[in-house]
Amino acid sequence: MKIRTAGLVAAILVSAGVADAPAQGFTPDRTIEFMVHSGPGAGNDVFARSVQGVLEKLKAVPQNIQVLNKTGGGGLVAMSYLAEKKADTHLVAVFTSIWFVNPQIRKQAKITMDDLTPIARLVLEPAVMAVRADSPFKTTKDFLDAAKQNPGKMKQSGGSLASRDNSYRFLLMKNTGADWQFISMKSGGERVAALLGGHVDMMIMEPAEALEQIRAGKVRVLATLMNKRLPSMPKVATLKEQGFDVPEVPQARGFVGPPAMPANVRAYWEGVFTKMYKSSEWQGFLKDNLYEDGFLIGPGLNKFVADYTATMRGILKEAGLKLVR
Amino acid sequence: MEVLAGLAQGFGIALEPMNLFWCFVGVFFGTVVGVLPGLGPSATVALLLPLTLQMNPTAGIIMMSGIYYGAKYGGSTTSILLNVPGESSSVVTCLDGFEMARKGRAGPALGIAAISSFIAGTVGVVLLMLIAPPIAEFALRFGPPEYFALMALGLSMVVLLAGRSMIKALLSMFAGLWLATIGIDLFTDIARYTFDRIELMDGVNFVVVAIGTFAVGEVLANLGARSSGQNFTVPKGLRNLMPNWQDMKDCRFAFFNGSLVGFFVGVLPGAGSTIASFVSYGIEKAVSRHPERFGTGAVEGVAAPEAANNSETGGALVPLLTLGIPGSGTTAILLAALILWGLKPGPLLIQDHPQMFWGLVASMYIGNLMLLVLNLPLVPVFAQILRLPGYVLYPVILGVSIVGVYSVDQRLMDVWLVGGFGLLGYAMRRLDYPSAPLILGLVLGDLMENAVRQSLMMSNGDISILYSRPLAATMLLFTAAILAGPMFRQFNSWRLKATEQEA
Amino acid sequence: MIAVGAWKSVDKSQLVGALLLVALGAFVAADAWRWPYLTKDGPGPGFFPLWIGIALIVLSGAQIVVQVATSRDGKDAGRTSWKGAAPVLAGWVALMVAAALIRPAGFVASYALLTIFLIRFVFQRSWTAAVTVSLTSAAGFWVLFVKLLRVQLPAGPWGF
Repeated sequence: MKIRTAGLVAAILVSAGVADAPAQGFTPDRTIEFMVHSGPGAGNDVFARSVQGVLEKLKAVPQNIQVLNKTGGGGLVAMSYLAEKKADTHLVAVFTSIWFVNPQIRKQAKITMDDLTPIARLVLEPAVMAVRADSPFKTTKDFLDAAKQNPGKMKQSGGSLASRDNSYRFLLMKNTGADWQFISMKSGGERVAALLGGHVDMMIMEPAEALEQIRAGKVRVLATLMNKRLPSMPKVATLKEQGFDVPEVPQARGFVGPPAMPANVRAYWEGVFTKMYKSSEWQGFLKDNLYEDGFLIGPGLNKFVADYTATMRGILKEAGLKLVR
Repeated sequence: MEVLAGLAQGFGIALEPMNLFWCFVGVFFGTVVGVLPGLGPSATVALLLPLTLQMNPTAGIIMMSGIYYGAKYGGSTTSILLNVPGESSSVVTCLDGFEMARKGRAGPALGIAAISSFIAGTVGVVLLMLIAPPIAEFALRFGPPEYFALMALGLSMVVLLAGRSMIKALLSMFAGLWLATIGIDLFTDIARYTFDRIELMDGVNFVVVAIGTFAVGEVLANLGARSSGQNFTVPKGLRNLMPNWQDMKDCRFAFFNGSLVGFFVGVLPGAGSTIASFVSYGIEKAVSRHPERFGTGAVEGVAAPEAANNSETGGALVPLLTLGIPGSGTTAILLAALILWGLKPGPLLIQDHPQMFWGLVASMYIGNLMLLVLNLPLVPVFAQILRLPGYVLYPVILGVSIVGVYSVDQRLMDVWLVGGFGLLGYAMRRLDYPSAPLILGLVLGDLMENAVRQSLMMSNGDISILYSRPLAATMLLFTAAILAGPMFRQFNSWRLKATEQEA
Repeated sequence: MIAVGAWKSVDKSQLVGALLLVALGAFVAADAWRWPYLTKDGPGPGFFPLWIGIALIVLSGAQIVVQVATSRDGKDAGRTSWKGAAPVLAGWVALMVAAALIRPAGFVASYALLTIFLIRFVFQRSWTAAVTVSLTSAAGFWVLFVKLLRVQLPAGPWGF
């Protein structure tokens, strides 16, 4: 508890420092490490390596970048490792939503996002609700009505209980009184295959994978789960437009530093990511992946961290998971 | 006709000097990371991802795929020479490959592994080229009940892996099934058998168990014998270091069996090359006229799993290229790379970018040939490693094992675990418990548990879903037949004994 | 029913092994009991572990019976030999010590020490052989894995 308060104080001091004292001559002088909490090839590992690729192309950092994989415990191993490297200047980590979720539901977790030094939020991942193209459901209402009439008969494929897929399911079930099954599957490949093979009725997808399936006539999208329509799918209405008052569950990725990262170092990294954000390479990356631009640094990011933690807390409680802190 | 035109176009692309160069770089790196345990193709492909983003997509995918199938070639080397599985899929290769090495036939084992890899790799590409779209549609019929049946079929292989005692083989398998339950339960988020260690929340990595029980166990057993001299005979003369005609003849069916099993299992997004290698080994033993030779250095026991894990690569590319669905860790990175190149992977990928698809297919024919040319001359060289005296060789194996398990997840905990499993492996050797069923149970255990629970969630608890769908039912019938085999034999021997006594 | 003579001839190592497996099964099953066995849609998280535990107990029980029965028939395949268990244990302990040294001293140094120990004391070769092999192979590991392949192995305070 004491550590966390100290971390918070440090974070506030650091962000205060950013405003009036820009990078005071910090430059990396050895290999920089980008830590990710999963093995090589997983989504956030690929994300880290893509950022690495863009930064190298832009020559935005004077040293080599190496991706460090610290897997285990759904991010908890990586978070503890980062906390051990207090005030390290050459180590930053990719954070994803599970960095906010898992510390709240795992009693083994010793570190939360409050202890660390957020640097930049880079992307927001949108989501859409998809069914097979030959499915009888044409709108969100069709699906939800069917799920209401046959409780427990409709099926959705998705990830773990704490995943966003399941959060949306709980929010929709609460809002409408419908009830359907959530079938957890380990890999993204299995989930899509289960939908395309007709073994499940619905799935929450990322637009990048959905768009191609739509173009091939395999999948139909019922709704955008974000607050606004997606530029890539202008015809697909949001849940709100279809009359379902369900809050958006954001999914963010960005970079976070170890606890008590010196102010000038944080400012340095903010500068690096700002430079990257403005490049055409980065904008191209966002476009190819159909990510939403989520660039945010400084006090705004600190507020996001606090708000997001609170939002996820509410949703997890709603979803029936036991909170530990 | 369309295929021939496409292929001609593909060879035109693949034979461009730069593409040829990248293909070579890919298969060369693939072989290297394949030989070294722990370093897998997915880690290497991920490492090279930032670099490939600056290449043109066709050259990039040619190189990355080269790493993927090249690693499968290399994987057998340490399995055969040191009993250290180089890749997860080459555990099965240890069973007969290392026994062959012990008998002074390391060269032929390595040679047959290279040849069967080449044949199966090529068959995999042929099938990818000819039947990718229909086979991908077929694979979609595999839902959780079908995966359950497939895993049951895989687990039934235990009766074929048993040595003298079926009970011991089953005990070993159930211990493996238990290890598979360690970690966070996917469906309820409950931590099972994690002893409150966050490192165990993702489960026990099976590379750790395999390297521990096979490699470290083997080294410990040799410390006991204080066999510090040269333990392996390495025959002189190139002829004895290569498979002979008889070996090739013995492996005819294994090439065929492994190629097909590997390809079809590879197409399924929820299976994997480890299952393919176990199943093809089991089939090979089941149809063999000399099943008793398996486990003592049967050359078919090397050829079948090696064929399976190489044609698996061709299979795994099917859902990726025709549906945009990744079926394995490595293909997931390839998918990400395709997105980053702006190619929009999905069902229309081949239609939109035929030059990339055909270029890749043609490069895989060339790459497989390169691998054969690269690997066969290395066989006599690698076989010389066994000339090292035991006191040099065994510490090196321990070092390789430590690096191997550490580099999977960069966790020291895994080094402790590999030591623990090493001691277990030694005890199992002494007490005559087979270790292959342990690995089988560990690999298939959680896949099977997940499949059962997913199926019953789909049917709201109605068990009939597991056997009422035709595909699942067919596989379960096969399973029953395999399980009934030894019982029938047992019964028969009792009957014979009884009639003898009566007479 | 078992004659004392038969009991004496039972392979004790096999017996201990099977009893350890009974214990493992009991632990697995007992722990599984804490988790839901069935949910409204079929097996819960406790279902499979419970049956795995039970199978372990039953099978190892069967193994004990078979062991006793075959030794009474005099058909025992030959007793387990623990000849050479002492150097094995020494080697294993050395491996674990080396594992413990990896964090403070780095991989290369712990591997070098492990190798010296094994060659000098377990294989009982000369100090010269031990030191030469150890230094060469440790250097080889460093060049191959750390320098060429960039495996992130833990380093000691001296940088490797």
